[in-house]
Amino acid sequence: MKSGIVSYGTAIPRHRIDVHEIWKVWENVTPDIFDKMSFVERAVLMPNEDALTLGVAAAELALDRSGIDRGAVGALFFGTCTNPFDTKATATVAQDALGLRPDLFSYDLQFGGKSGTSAVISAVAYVEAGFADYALAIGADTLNRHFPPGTQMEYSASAGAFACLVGREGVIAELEGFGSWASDLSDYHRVEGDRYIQLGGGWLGYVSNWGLLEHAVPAGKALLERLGLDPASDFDAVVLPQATGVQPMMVGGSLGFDVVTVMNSVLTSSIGDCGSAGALIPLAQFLDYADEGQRAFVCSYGYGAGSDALCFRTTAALDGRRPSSGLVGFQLEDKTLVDYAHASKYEFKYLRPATLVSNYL
Amino acid sequence: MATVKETIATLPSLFNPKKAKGYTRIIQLDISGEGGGQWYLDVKNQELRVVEGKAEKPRFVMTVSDEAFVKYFSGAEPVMSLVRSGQLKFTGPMTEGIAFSSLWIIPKK
Repeated sequence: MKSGIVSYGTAIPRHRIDVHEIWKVWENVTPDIFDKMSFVERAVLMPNEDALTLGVAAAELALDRSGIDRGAVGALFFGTCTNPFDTKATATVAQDALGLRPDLFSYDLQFGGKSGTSAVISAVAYVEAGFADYALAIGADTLNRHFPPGTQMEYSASAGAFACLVGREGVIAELEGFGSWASDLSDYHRVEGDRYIQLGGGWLGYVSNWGLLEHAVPAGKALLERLGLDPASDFDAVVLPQATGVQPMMVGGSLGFDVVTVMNSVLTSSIGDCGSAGALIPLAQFLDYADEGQRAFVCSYGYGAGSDALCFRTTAALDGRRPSSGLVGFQLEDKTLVDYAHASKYEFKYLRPATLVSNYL
Repeated sequence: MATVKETIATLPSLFNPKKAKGYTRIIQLDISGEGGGQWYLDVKNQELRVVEGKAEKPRFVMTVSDEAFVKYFSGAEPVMSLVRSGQLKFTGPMTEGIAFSSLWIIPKK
């Protein structure tokens, strides 16, 4: 493939909560589990933040870094499983907010926690097919707003966004190949009208990572075999599903990756589970510092959706285009901690009636 | 065998800044035994600062005997062997404990 990432950007909410703040209120797990799962902090949304605003912020950064006229963008794919609208399209709002032309091809893509990687693959396919010179892919989620108060998922459910401009010219990371593995698994879901996501496999299914290896391993293995690459020696970065810190160890071990290389791309302890952006924000962190000719393996997993595996190789174009601001490390460290009461308020965990006549929040 | 203080003094030369890109952490070292004590490692902008004392809010704590600490950084015994035998313990996110070992170029013996 000639196409790949031309530029990229991320958006991570500035507000965070320490998992012990949540635990002080609910005491619904043994706190030992935090170290084992690598839960330290997760993002908290402000009232004006959602998957759309985070996705647009990440895309603004990606477009600014590209230096490419926005009129050249011919497609937009917005991947999220926490779309702020039940029916309305998010991609069109993003399109307008970003100042993109109205005749571009765009759609929302909802595919669990792998919506982001699927958006990237869609963008590459669109460009490879010659339908556009450039396509924008966004992966964004706000899981924190969509899990019920008092469930254990509150400790890890977080938010974040990744966006990348895909093209054939000025590529900094070429997509060498990709693969998918999907099957129906009745895990995370919201049926029509549900306010909150439910776990199909319950807490036991969650901690046992029900479905993870059954999807991530065949997707990864097929791609490695197709490309003829050795997991133990051919990769400089390995980004694996990381909703918990246990997941990358399980997947990495099963696929034959070096565990230390895997752990260098695990951000669970810093930010929690970013859903569709979960496997892409660590990719951005790798690109922030990568050198020419380095190879990154990326694998996403969406509960009830399956896995995408992607292999990127950086190019010589990276040298002149390495970003100096807005790096992932900076976004992770730029934070304000809040308590559980404020997190619940900001994330609309206790909704007021829509007709409430009051100015008081 | 080197002392804890001598080993602490070698840490900047063992530190691998290439593996610390984007890595910002404070790591507490809690070393027991003769010559032991409290130090913390402040890693930021690919630079290592070794400070004597207790950090206010470290990301994780390495609790280790003086002998095991010297063995680890001199390359006399691999970290996993020290963990398995209970001579070295990481308290904090498990992923961070594993990633920590990539920050060092430990001599091979």
